[in-house]
Amino acid sequence: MDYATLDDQTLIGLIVHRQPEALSVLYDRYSRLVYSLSLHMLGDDSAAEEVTLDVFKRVWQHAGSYRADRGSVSTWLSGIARNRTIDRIRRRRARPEGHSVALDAVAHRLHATTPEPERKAHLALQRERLHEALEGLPDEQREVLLLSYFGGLSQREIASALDLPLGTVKTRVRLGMEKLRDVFLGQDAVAEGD
Amino acid sequence: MVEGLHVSEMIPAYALGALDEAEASAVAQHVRRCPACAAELAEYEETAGWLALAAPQVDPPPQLKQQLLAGLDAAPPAADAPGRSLPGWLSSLLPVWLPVSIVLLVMLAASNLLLLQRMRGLEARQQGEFMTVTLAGTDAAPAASAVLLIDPDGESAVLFTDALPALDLTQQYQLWLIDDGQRDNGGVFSVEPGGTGTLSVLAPRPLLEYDALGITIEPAGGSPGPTGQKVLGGDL
Repeated sequence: MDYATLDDQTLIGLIVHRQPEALSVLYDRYSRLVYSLSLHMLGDDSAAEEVTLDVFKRVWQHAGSYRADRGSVSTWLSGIARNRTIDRIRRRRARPEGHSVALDAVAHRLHATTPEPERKAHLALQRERLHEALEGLPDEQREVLLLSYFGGLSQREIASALDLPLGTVKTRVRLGMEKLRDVFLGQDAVAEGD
Repeated sequence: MVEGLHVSEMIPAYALGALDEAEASAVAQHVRRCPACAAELAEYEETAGWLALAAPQVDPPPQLKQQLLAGLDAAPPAADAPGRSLPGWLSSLLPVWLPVSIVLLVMLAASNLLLLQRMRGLEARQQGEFMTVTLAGTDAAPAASAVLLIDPDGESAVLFTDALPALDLTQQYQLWLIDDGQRDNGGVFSVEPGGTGTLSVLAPRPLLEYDALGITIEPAGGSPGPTGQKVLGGDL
């Protein structure tokens, strides 16, 4: 049986049943996603490697906590990766309330990335759609979404860092997320893993 | 003080992780009680998850994978003790509803294939045995065979096929669930060059309400009803 043909949820089920090959295939599919996310946030490749290892070890230990009705496996993985990375950022840089030390470190990396050729076919289409969707947002909405997602900043911290009223930031976040949701959920569901 | 009226407006920011602790806590509490908001949160969490792809994509070093696999232990997962109310589809049921003998039987019968259970948010399931249904190849595919493993809940199943010829890209195999002449779609799948295929089956009705199964060749993506050659069939 070739595990590479199984969909993500099936792999998770097999991981619960302690099948290392299923974890291996899941790693092949999503290590790049996890590592890239962490690296983009940390700017430190050995720290990003540690986070990546941590994420997949957690998958091995806690695959049973994945809930299909809460979202796709890839979202679950990127959520774990992001949380581990934010923990690491906070440990490294104790931040006083309202002071966004992470902003400087993140700002220079938040350039508009043009999509490089994506070798993993099952993510290529999603990536392209994401870029189109982001390009379709007003600059100020895109900016707050990326600062929040990759910088781990709260709306309050973003307002403080950009010297904007909190209400303005909240509105931009809400409108930006609403637009993105409409784009992604308006499309046919993209198959998870091929 | 956060009012219920305004909580739904905070859901997108919550999904993004952009709320402070007090606000996040208020949303979390509300979502536990409000299924509509919980559904909306799921949509926004999926949306937020897509943002991960905005990062420049870089491969981790190859040795990281070796490190991961070498460090795995075979110990059982950190499962919740029976009786605790923590979420997790597995909960305390795995050791109970999956008797080892069934697993071995399946593994022997189906060339090292494993049964797995569909993930759902759950209450306790009825305990019971897995049901297996064997499908035999028709004249169009005499060497083919398949096994349908039906979960004790009777609602989900996994289909494993063997020795089905590979189709070209314009075609796929489609599973039909047959009840008194009416045919419901059980899903479409493609096979590996060796002819093995897998399909997680989500039936529109409890599986045991059907009396037979069939697999036909259809245009890629499937058809509303069977149009192509039948390759496998079996009775429930």
